[in-house]
Amino acid sequence: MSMKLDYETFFHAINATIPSSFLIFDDKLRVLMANQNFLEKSCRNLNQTLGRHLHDVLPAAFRDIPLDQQLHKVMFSGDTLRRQRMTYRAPGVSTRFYSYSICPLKLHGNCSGAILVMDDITDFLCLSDKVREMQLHLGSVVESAADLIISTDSAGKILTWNAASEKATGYSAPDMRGKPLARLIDKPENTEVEAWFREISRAQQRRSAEWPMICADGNTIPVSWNLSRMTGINGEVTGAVVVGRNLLEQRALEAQVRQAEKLAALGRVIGGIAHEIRNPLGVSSGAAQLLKRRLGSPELLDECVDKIIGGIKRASLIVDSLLRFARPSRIRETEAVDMVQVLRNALMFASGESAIGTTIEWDVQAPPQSLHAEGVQNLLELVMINLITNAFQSMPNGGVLRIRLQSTGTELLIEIADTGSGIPEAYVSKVFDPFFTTWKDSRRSGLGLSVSHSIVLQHGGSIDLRPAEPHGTIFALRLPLAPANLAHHPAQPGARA
Amino acid sequence: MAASAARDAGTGPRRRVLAIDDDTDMCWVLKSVLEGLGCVVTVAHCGRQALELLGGNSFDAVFVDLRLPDIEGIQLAEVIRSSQPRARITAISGYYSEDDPQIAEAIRAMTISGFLAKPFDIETVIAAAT
Repeated sequence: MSMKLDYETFFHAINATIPSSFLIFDDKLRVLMANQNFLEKSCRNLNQTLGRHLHDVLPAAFRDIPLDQQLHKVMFSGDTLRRQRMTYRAPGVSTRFYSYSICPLKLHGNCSGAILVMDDITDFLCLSDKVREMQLHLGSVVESAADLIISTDSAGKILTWNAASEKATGYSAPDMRGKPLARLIDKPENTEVEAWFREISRAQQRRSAEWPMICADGNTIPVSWNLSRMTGINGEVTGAVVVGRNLLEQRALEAQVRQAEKLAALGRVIGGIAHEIRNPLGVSSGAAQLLKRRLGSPELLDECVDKIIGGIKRASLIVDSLLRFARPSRIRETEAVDMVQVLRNALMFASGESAIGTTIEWDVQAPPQSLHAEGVQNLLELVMINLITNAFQSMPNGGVLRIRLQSTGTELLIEIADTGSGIPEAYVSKVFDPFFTTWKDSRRSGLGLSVSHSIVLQHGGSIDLRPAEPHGTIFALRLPLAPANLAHHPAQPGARA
Repeated sequence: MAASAARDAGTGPRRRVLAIDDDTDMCWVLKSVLEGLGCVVTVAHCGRQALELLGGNSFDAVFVDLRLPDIEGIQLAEVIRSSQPRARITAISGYYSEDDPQIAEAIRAMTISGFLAKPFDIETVIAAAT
């Protein structure tokens, strides 16, 4: 059995329950019908409303809206007027906003009528204002950020592009919208970006990397990136937020710091050199003045001459090592160098540095004539002077300097060991760095060991250090043997060009 | 000649001089110049050695190098000044110059009585010791 809808009951039910207010007017704009909600909102009863004119039932605050004209127009044209806005402003009451529609109705006797439906949308508007405000706030955070903030869809196509991104790359937001993010990353790293987006639903949620970015001017800038995926309410991947930090300024700053460090190192070395040169100059000058004044015994005057020559030699050795450092030229012409002789010479030059109570022990493991290195005599002499000076200076209260020579058949092994306090663990990796020195040591500019290191490398050799037992340091050098000393005398004419 | 005049004038007690420099040749120069004038010259090569010598002796003049292996020269000069208030302390250095703020300040504070930059004129050494 089919149910028949009782339209009157249905109408009353709607009348009583919908949150909108409505009024039905005849063509004279008199109220034919008003719903419960309207009566409650306007604090009227049905008797005060039915049969009254539009102007009598609507508050004066609405009068600035030409509702009468609009109602007539709808009745005349039969077209519905949808979603108009009116504002209710009255003294002492907070402003309220209404949305209304007017719909034509056919009344009994073919008369024209219309229904006015009004909704209070004040709360809705407040809410959307708040949302808008929030969006603006978030938007200004993104826009004013110093970092590049980019959002993409799940395929990696750019959706939003903030001001910092425009500034860093020279591309505007409209230029970039819809473009794949990977296209902005330089090769070959761009494939990593593509891979991350391909795997976006499975890949790790976040990715950090440093990738170079291509700018509008064709240059690339270093950027540190953070890619995070965005997920919707149901956990599906909706896209990605990409934050990039332009490292250009940081790099420039780092370069400045490095430059400042270099200048400081240069200042240190110049100070050290000044001191190293002025000492022998002072000695030579003092001795020369004594000589000129004939102050002292003939023996003393002889000694003056030796000191003058020694001082000049010391100063020119320093200049030599500076030049060696300034122009580390490749070694072109080599000869067989008698290392025993070189070590004897070096000991003589460095002897001024040995403290009272220093003894020297030789440990030569082969006939001296087999201990020739292939190299440049004065350079190898400089290396030995540096190493021996270093050893003497590490034994200010005396000790034992042990010189060991050995041939391996292909190489010459030279060890220079001291019984000093040793090199602290932390300094071991630094002793060959240019300019490295400890402040306590006045006579080391920090060049000696670094120059020695580069000379030995130029010879195709190596230099290393290790602690000695029970204390002290052993510098171990390996140098190529002169061809005539090689175990099997392979034909090597011209040797090391 | 100024030097021989100074030597001839040395009829009183012989002046005692302490020379502190880690460069043995530099100590030799100071010793040779000043012993020629009749001074008694004691040599130290580091701060520790100098402090040991200061313990039981008094000196009329001290030459101190400003860069020693174990102590900063100005710091050593301060120690010497407090134990030997009447000594004439002269700083010598190949590193600093006379107008360096540290040197000017040390002279103003009377930590040192004078400064000699290497290389120096032996006349100034003689003047500082006698």
